[in-house]
Amino acid sequence: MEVLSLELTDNTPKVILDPNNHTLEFEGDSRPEDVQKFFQPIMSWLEEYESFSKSAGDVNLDANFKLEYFNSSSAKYIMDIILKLGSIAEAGNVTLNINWHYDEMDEDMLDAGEEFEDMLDVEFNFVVIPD
Amino acid sequence: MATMEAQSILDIFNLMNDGRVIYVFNGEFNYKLVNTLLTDIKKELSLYREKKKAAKKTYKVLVECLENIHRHTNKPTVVDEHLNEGVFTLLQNNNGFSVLVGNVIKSDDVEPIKERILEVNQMNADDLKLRYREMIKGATISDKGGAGLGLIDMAMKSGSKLIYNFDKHTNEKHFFTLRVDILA
Repeated sequence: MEVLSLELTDNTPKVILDPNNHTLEFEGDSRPEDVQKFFQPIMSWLEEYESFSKSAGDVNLDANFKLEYFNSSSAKYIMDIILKLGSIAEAGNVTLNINWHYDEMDEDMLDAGEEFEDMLDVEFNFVVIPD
Repeated sequence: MATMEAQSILDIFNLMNDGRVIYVFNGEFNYKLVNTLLTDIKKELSLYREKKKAAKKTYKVLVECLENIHRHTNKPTVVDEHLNEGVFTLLQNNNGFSVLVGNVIKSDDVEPIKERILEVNQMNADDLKLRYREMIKGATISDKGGAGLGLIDMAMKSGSKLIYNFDKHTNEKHFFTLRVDILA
């Protein structure tokens, strides 16, 4: 299975989805011109990874969210990504770690993480980025 | 007429020079432009170290405001180019920042927009959170690219009531002004 890698731009986050190391990175701002177009390949990749991970033995899946900002239409997709991660972790061989990074001065990003955690019933590790 | 224009220019000059204005833009809101403005303003806002929390919130409110104008005005099928035009001002004051946006809308859209704002303004922080949760769970991205969360998001992030106005513009159009205050 291939690595999905998207470069950071002014309005889209850096994304690196690595099936071999079982690491997922999302970093930067998310306010794409066309949210569907941006997130669709990510959702498809996760779909494929779900079957891939099932036959990968014992896996530690690390998902690192280092988002600085996401707009309200991206929020829906970020929720879908987290839901998908929860579903992937239902397989007994996958241990999921969601690391939600937030700037010390950005209470909204902490709130957003707590909200997703609460809403989707998935546990997050909160990592503060000191100002 | 000449006197009036001179007075307007003076008003603009005074506004621009009283130290409150961080950014003013008037023109056509296409995506490329909105993107450039937001990238630029993000850098500008990062300079306000002493009110960093408010500056971060202001950027978030601004994205939703400007994307709203872009999304609701930029319809390729509409021949009337005035529907692409808007104005926005970013001000700073002792208490934080204010975002003001204005654009021409169809008069038919006045009531639906007003209803949505009134509804948002009636909600407290907990109500907003609950509604946000409901909407994001049930959201489908509309053909305009929004998930219907914009106004709720602005109210949540700013912690303020949305201030709005509709002025008659031409026969079938109104000028819609929205102001969001972000307290430091």
